[in-house]
Amino acid sequence: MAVFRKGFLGGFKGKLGPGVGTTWRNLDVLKSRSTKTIEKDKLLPQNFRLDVLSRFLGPFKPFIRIGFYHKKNKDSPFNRAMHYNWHRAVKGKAPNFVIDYSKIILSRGDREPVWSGNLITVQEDQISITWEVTEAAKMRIIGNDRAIVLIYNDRAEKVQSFKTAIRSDLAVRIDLPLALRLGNSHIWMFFLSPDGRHVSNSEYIGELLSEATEI
Amino acid sequence: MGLLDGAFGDFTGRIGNMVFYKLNGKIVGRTIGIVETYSEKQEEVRMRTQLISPFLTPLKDFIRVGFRNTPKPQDWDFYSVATSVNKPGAIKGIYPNLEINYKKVILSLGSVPSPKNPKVILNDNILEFSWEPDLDAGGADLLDQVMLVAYFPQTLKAVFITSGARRTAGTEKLKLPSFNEKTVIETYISFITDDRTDVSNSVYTGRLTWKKPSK
Repeated sequence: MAVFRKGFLGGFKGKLGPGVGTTWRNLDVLKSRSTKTIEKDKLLPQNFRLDVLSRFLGPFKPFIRIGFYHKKNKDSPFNRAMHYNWHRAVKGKAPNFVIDYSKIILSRGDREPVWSGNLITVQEDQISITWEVTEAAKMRIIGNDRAIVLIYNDRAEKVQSFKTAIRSDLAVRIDLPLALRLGNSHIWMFFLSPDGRHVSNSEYIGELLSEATEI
Repeated sequence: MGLLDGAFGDFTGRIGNMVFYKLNGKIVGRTIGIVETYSEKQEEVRMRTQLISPFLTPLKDFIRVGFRNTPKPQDWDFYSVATSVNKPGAIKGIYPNLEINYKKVILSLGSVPSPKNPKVILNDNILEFSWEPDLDAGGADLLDQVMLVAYFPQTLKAVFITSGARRTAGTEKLKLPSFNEKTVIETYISFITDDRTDVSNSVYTGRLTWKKPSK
């Protein structure tokens, strides 16, 4: 005994151009949008949190699209990433939120994780990142996984990616471009399967501290 | 998930945003509302899931073996058994102070006799498991192989093998990746028959802590 009282397509809820769909006394109604804005001194904690986190995750968007991709999810990978990091990776109190770099997660999946990721500074402009593979791991399956290293520079607020190595290399050597040698940089990495469908959880590798402002 | 009642061809349950159910002998359908508040009991179940699901995820390939041949209802898989055993059983405390009780975690269920007096020591980066090869116990076989788990609660990662030494060997080693900082390790041991049709109940062998060797 299903009764539709809403016509052919049913009602809708939310903004649509200048109108807002909503329910009122069990009726689906359409009304014009209000002109409500938040005054600056009435901003809520989540407004500051959103600002800090989305500003940080923004440059990572192409990688989050890989790292948080899921066929069944209705929301976008970026939504998922914001959701996951919302409480985990932001520390401090409003309005002074800061990013907890070591807790940031840029990819989530069930591929074999990054074991013992280690950062070694070879030269001033060259770093080496090493990782391990456990004895029990199935190297024939996971050996060709692409290692994706992401370096975020907090001075330029930009991300550079390095995808030269595969998992069985167990190490990757990176020549730092000039932009990454000014200001502090943070490094994450994760693995992507050759067919591009499976990712590992991302791992925080470490930070590069630099006081140089000019080279 | 809507279920089809074969005899009459009626749906019950949820399909999309419609819910069908029996009301005074008739099948009725309606659109579902948005649930915004949950009772305390519902919140407790949600919290239990939040605890147990990240714990089981890295062990998925292990519990696939551990619960494969456990008797279960027709539409259940290994993961259903693992959650239904551990969600009420392996969590201690009273809501909202719940935490995982690693002593009570069960990672395999079967009729093979469990390892007798299992012990484990941490030697540098190698876990050395040992047990008494008692062949007198009913169902114990020469060819039973050992399955070992090392779980790292801080990083939510796990190392395991599902086909180690024979029961008669009495010892087996599990090599761990190298660590940079203090790491807590939870260990479990269990047996699997040579033809992979049965397993033993898993046994908790204790918590070990890896510390940086003092120089």
